[in-house]
Amino acid sequence: MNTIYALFPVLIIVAASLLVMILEVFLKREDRSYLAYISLLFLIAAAAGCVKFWDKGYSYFDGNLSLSNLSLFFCFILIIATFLVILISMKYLTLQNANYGEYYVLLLFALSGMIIMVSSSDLIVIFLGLEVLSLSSYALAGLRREDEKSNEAAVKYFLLGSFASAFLVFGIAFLYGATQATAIPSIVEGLQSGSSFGTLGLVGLGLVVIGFGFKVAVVPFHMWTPDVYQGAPTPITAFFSVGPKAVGFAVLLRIFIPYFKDALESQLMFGLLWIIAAITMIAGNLIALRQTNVKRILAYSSIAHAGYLMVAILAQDTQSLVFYLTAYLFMNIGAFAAVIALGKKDHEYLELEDYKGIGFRYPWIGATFAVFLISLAGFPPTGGFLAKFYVFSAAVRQGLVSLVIIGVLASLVSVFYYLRIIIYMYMKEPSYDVEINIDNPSLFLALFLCLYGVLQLGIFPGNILVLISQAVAALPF
Amino acid sequence: MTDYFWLIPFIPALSTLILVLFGQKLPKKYVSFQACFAVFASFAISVISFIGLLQTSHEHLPIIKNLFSWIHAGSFQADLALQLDPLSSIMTLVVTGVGFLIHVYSVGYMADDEGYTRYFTYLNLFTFAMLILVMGSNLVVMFVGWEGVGLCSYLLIGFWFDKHSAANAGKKAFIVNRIGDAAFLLGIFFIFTHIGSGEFSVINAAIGGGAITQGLATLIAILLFVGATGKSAQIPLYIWLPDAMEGPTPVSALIHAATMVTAGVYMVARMNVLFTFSGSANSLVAIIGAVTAVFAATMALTQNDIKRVLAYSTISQIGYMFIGCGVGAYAAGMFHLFTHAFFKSLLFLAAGSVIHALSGELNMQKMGGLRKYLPLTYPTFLIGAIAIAGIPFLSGFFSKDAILTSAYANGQYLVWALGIFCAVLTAFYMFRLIFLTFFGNERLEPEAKKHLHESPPAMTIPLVLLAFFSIVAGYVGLPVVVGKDLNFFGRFLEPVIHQAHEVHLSLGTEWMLILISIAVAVTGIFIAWVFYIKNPKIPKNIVARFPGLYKLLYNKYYVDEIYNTLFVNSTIKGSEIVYDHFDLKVIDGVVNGSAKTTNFFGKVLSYFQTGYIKDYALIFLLGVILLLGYLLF
Amino acid sequence: MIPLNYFLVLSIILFALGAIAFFVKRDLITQFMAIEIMFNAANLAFLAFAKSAGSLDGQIIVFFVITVAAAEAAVGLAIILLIFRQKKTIKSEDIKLMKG
Repeated sequence: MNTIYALFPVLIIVAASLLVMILEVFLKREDRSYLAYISLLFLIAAAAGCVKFWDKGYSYFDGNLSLSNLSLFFCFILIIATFLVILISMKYLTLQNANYGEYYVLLLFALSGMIIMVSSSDLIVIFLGLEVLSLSSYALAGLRREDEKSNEAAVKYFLLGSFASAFLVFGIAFLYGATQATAIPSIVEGLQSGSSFGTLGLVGLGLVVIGFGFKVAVVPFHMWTPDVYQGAPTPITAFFSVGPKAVGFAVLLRIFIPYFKDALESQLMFGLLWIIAAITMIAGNLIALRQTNVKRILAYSSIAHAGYLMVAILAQDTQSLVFYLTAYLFMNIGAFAAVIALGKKDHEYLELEDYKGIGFRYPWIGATFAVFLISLAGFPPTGGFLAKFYVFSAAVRQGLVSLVIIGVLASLVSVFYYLRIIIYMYMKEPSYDVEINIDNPSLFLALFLCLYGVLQLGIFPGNILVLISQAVAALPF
Repeated sequence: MTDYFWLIPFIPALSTLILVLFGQKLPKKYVSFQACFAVFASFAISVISFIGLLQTSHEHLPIIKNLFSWIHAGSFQADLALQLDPLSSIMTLVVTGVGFLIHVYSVGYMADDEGYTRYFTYLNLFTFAMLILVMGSNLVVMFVGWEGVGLCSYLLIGFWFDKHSAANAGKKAFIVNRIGDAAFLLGIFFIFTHIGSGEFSVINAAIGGGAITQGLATLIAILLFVGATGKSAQIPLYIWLPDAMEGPTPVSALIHAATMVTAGVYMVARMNVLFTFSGSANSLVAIIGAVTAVFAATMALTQNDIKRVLAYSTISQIGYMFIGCGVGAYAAGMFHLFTHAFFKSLLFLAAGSVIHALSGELNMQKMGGLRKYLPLTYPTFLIGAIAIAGIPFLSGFFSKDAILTSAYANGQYLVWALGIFCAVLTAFYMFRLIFLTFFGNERLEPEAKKHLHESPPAMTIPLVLLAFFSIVAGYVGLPVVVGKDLNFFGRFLEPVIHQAHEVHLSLGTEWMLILISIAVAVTGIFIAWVFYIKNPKIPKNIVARFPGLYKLLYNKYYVDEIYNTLFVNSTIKGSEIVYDHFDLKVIDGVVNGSAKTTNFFGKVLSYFQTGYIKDYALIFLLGVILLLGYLLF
Repeated sequence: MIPLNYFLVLSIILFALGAIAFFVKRDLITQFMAIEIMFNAANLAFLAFAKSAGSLDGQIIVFFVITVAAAEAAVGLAIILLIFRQKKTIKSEDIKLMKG
């Protein structure tokens, strides 16, 4: 149905960010936490909108912005992700001297960009959304202005990010040339009908894969990930590891699920993604083994997870992909929340050495962190296990046995570095005192919510699976 | 009476939860009471359910309790469901029964340990995971338990993590098990793909209905069996179990003897329709089982560490169970699992009592003459040894005989012969252990002798009870020669075990087989007596007389050297390996080597991560070129 | 009329030049300009395709891309400025605190 209501989620987020931007001027520095509460309120409103529009199928701008169930589901999990990120940021910002009002503004702008991306099926609109997201992200990465690492992260992200964007635009241009269209369904149709511009289209598609491959951090377009993740403020890292990855896969999903339906035309592309998935899983996990900085470990782990998600694309199983993303959201933000919990004024504990004996000194933080790590490693009864199980068994059903073997072996390797953190937390004597600021209720709320999410998805995934299956029923878009 | 069987796993789970959350604040006495009581309550329900099951007619089996629909979308379907049938009932009885006694024993054994609460938390958690494993009504739930017990085993092996060797042993167990688990998971995926469900009843029906070809069944069965070799420590993935003895002794008794390591046997028995249908997978199981049995037994012959002897003995006895499954006598395999749980945990606990008495001494060469100091440990240990050696009227005799008879009846004469040979070895090394420990001269360290004492009642009472069961447990499955319908155990399992065909031997042959196994057991004991009591010089003389043979055994048939000359191209290392202890260095090397290789590649790959934007762009561009090149050419 | 291929080849050359310049040059600003060249190569391709197909879409898209590039310049220059303030240099090889 063509109605202006379709703009509601985007508009409310943009309105929130504008309001926060104005209010910031009038608020004293110590009162900035109100900005967070306002943002949270608006996020709840947007989420309520998503719930309300379920099954309504609203769209606007000639269908260029359409809230199908799948879009709504993605919107919903992105809003949840932002919500959790704000919760884990509130204390962090004052502790680490990054308490700028822009923080929430930029975060909300980034969210609006992501919502645009997931609710459109036109590559140009998606590109615009992507840029809204990226520009906010560049600024967010460099928010700790006095911190050299943060600046370095910003400049690296910015240069490499725009570099990748250029490839994306060039790819869209080629696709436009080959099919005279920028809307994904028409592009896919055009590519499959096999015009004289076949090669042009193929190259265009390849360039688009590169552009989004950068965002979701697949090898070999992943080089920025560890540095940016390490340098950016930790809550922002949590945001980067979840948000852009989710939207990147949402777009790849829209392109490739219909594209792969025509098995003959798509063989070449299929092989390409196969290779990317395989090397991403292998390289991500192998390099992670050597890291000693917890943020870097999680960065490489997020690269590896992009590989598993790629397997889901190849298995052409939307349901398992969406489920994986949902589980990944909770376990990854949770893991970062636990990392943030180990911080005090002007200092964060990020080296593996710092984690010695944490499990006994701070039992709650240690225990929840351990659960998230176990979930990332894919052990039952957590959401991570079920997600991986789901993806891999879908892949076996598609006959991707060798890819699954690679995936299973790679995740076997991953167990080492996840468990290494647990070993440090529980099986090593601390060599020095780790003092943390324990007075952080919003962070503990976030930890609890993530824990709940991971366990809910692992033990009672039924309801969410029903929602997801309703969401993907709309396919193809 | 079976209404509440689904509570069995959740009582230990609840106890774990309480211990995790409040354990540090609770008094020690309460912790031990709660941990033991939780397992006892499970045991009580298991018994009640078992009685209820006896009164249930076969048509109503298995009794399934669907807790909730776990994965339920599209083509997937897996419920979090527990089932009660004869197979799972026996397993719950063993896990909770033996588990309870070991919990009680631990109260005494771990009394002075700092990690007391942590220990019982892990132990309860293990009980929960193991019960989930055996009661799950589908493969996914079983896998959850499967991973869970692995995790607990890892935690408990590395329990004394400040000991370097313990941490390493934990790691090794973990790596080896993950390899097995990966194969197991692949097998599950295949079943999901081709049958569309993980429910055991559905799988059995589908295989009966010809849903998969025999080749595919063999592939799946072998993948599952690789998982079993990891968990149950069979060739080629057995190497972790001897090292696992670094954990506390009650843990070795519970996890690495009675319950977890037999999970593989349980799984094969559970999937018996698949294995029988495949046929060739079954033969593989029997052969691997037989070879492992003999191989591990020979390695036990020359060990001096009392726990390691028992560890190799466990590997060997599990080999027997796999022989049973492999020749199609699943009931016999399960029977041996059942009796083995009693006598092997008895042996471990008794060994623990000896170690406790000697303030931690493990080397049998430094024991001797202990029987007068340990008036309760000695007879119970002896009962365990007689039971495992296969002397008539004790439990091990009946179960081992059932397996060997079935092997013979199925025409697997080679497997049978290996089994018989292994029986001689078993009797020999068990009595070697007895004689070295309890007889002969005292070779104690003076310091150990000062503290020498019998263990407290919390430890000896479980020993006595287990000894009792080691004697009587065999009488639930008497052989045909005693009476036609006295094999209650086999009949109880009939609804679960879908036997393809049953071969009957004449009574005469049966008697002959029984006499042969008695004869070999007695021979083994006799040789041990001659060697270590009558003429203790003989072992040394033999070593002197047949240095080649001794070396051959000591080096387990020069497998290492053969591998070395073949693969490593080094004969110099041979002399080093002579002094090294028993362990398949090659497999060990592969594990360590692969760790090194992955580390190496990680190093190479992270070398590219230079920090320069330029280099990142270069790799990006290379990626682009390769990708476009792939698309265009 | 100039054939479509001529435009395409030019835009590909421009794009390749930009990409090469990006990793050859050692100056953050120059590297950023290289990216601008790549964006403009894409614009050229859009225009050429729009012209040959006789549709307006491509020409409108170019405006969007130009806007995006301008926005990127604003954010990018701010970030580079920040780096300069702190390190007194904008050489890209001086930025390598994090690696491995």
